[in-house]
Amino acid sequence: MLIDYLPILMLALFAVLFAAINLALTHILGPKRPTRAKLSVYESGVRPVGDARQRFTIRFDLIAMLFIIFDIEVVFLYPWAVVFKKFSAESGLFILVEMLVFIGILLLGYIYAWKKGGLSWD
Amino acid sequence: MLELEYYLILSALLFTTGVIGVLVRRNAIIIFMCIELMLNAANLAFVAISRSLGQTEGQVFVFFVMTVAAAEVAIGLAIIVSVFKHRQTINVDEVNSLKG
Amino acid sequence: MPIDINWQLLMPELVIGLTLLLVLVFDMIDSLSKTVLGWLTIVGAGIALWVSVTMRLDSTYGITFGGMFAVDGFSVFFNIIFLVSTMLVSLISINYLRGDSADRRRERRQGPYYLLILLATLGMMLMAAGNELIVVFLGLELMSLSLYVLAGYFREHAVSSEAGMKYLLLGAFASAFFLYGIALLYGGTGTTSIPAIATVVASGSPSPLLLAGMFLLIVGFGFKVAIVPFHQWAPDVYDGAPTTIAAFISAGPKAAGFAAFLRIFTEALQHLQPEWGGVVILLAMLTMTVGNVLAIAQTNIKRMLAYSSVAHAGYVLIGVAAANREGISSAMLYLLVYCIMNIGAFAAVILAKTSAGERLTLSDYAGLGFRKPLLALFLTVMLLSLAGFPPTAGFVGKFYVFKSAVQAGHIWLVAIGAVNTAISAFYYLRVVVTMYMREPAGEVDVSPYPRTLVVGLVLAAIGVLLIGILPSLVFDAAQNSGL
Repeated sequence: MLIDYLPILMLALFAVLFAAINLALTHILGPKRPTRAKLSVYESGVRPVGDARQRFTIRFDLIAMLFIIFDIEVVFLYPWAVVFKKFSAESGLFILVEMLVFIGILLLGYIYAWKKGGLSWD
Repeated sequence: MLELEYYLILSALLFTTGVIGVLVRRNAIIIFMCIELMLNAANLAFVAISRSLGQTEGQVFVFFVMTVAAAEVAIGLAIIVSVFKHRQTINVDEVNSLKG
Repeated sequence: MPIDINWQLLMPELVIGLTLLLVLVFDMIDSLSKTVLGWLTIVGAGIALWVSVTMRLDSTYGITFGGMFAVDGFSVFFNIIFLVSTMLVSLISINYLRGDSADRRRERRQGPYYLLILLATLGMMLMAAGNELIVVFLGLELMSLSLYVLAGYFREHAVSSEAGMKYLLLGAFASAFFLYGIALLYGGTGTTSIPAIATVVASGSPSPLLLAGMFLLIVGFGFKVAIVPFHQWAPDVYDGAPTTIAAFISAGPKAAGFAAFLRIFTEALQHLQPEWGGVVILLAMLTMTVGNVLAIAQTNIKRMLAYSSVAHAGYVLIGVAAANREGISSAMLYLLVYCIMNIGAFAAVILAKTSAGERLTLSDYAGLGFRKPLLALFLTVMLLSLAGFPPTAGFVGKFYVFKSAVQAGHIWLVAIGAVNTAISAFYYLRVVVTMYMREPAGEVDVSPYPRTLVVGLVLAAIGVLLIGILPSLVFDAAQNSGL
C-alpha cells in the first residue's frame, strides 16, 4: 500500500531539506572576497586558454547520427531472438530468412553511407 | 500497482508541455526536442495502456515509434544544420525569407 | 504457429521496394549516368502500376500479414493514383534536375532524389493499405521523412533549406498529434486494428478517451493534407522546395493522407459520424473559402498553386463529409483528377522558365501565349481543369463531389462550393488572360523544350481531357472501389 512508502518519503524530504538548508546557509553566511584568480576556471593550476564553449566540427554530428540510426535497429533483434524458439519448430527457416533480409537491407544502407563518404573524416 | 489514469495524466502533461514548448520557443532545436517529448508522451501512454490490458501490442508499437523518432532526429538535425549554414541562425522568427 | 502471407497481394509494394534497392545499388556505381536512375524509377513505378491495374481488373483482393494489410478496391485505386503521380513527377524531374548549367555536383546528387521519391511512394502505399494503425503510422512517417529531405533538396539554395525546415518542424508536430491520437484510440478501444476498432465503437457509447483521440487524429491529418486552419506550411514549402517536389507534395501525399483519413474515419470510426461529420463540414467550408480567397492575393505562381491546392483539399472534404458510398468514391475520383492536373500545371510552370531561371511571378507570363503558343495552350488546359470548366477532368471531379453532397443533404455545403468555384475561376483565368492579352515586358526568349518535361505535360493533358470527355472510364472504377 501507499502508506508503506511514507518513511521513504520522509527520508527523501529530510535529505532534500538538509542539503538545501546547508547550501543556503553557506551562501548567506560565508564571506565573499572574489579575486580574478578565484573566479577563473580551474584547469589544474594552468591558466585557462580560450572559451570552453567552442564550436566543434559538424562531422561529429554525422557520425553520431549514423550510429543512432544503426543502433536503434537492434531493438528489433531482441524480441525476435526471444520468440524465435517458440516459432522455430514450424517456420524457423522463414523467420530466419526474414531477419536476414532485414539485416541485408540495413547492410546495404550501411555500404551506401560508406560509399558516399559518410564515414570518412576528410 | 498504480492505476492507469495516473500514467495517462502524466502522459497528457508531458504531451501538453511539448505542445506549449513548440508554440512558445523560437529555437529550432528546442522546438524539435519538444516534438520528441510529445512522441515520448505517446510512448508512455502506449506502454501503460498495453500493460493494463495485459497485451503486448502497445509495447511493440513503442519499438517502432522509437525507430521512427531516431530517423526523424537524424533527418531533422541535418536539415537544421543546412539552414544554419545559410543563415548563421536557427531562430525560426529570423528564418523567414518565404512569405506572402 | 504457421505464418500465412499472401505475397501476390503485396506485389506492387514489393516491386517498388525492389526498385528502390536497385536505385540504391546503381547509385553506388560512379561510372553510371545518374539519368539511368530516373528511368529506373519510372520503369519500376510503371511495372507496379501495371500490376495494380491487373489486380483491379482481376479483383485480386484480400487481407494478409495477420490482418495488418488490406488489399481491396480502395487501396488498389489509391495505389494507381500514387504510381501515376510518381511516374509523372519522375518524368518531369529528369530534365529539371539536370538543369541548364553543367553543374556536376547536382548531377551527382540525383541518386538520393529518386531513392526518396520511391520511399515516399512506398510510404503512401502502406498508408492506403494499412489495416492496422501501426502500419498507417509507419507509412505516414516513411512518406513524411522522405518529403522533408526532398523539400530541402537543393541545399545550396537558402530558400530550399528553409522550406525543408518549416516542413520538418510542422510535419513532425503533426505526426506527434497523430501518434497521440492513435495512443488514445488504443486506450479507448484496446486495439489498433481498424476492423476491431469498428466493432468496439459499434458496440457501446464512446469513451472520452476515444473522442479525444479522434479529434487529435483530425488535427494530425489536417496538417498533413493542409486543410485550414492547419495549412500555413503549404505556401512556404511549395515556394521554397524544388518545383518538381512542390508538384509531388501537392499530389501523392495529399491523396495518401485522404486515403488513411477515409479508411480510419469511415471504417473504424463509422459509428462516430455524428461526432466528426459536423467538424468535417466546417473544415471543408473554411478550407475552400480561405484557400481560394488567399490565392487571389498571390503574385507568385507557385504560391498561388499552393493556396489552390489547399482549396482543392476543401473540395475533397465535401465528398468526405457526405460519408456515403458516392461521397467516398467521388472523393477518390477527385484526388485522381487533381493529382494529374496539378502535376501538369507545375510541369508547365517549369517549362516556362528561361535561361535566366524559373519564371514565377504573374507578370512573367505576359505574352507567353505568343512566345510559346503550345506551352501556353497546355497551361491553359491545366488551369481550366483546376478551375473546373467542362470538358476537362476538373469539371467531372467537382460534379461528382457536389452530386454526392446533394444526395447526403448538404445543400449549403454545395452552395459554398459553387461560390468558391467561381472565386477560383477568377485567379486561374487571370493567368490565362495575362498569357494571351498582355504584351511581354522583356525580350523574347525562345529556349528549346526539354524532352521529358514535354512528355510529362502532354501525358497529363491527355489524362485531363480523356477523363473530362469520358468520365465513366474512371468513375465506374472509383465507384466499385469505395470502402
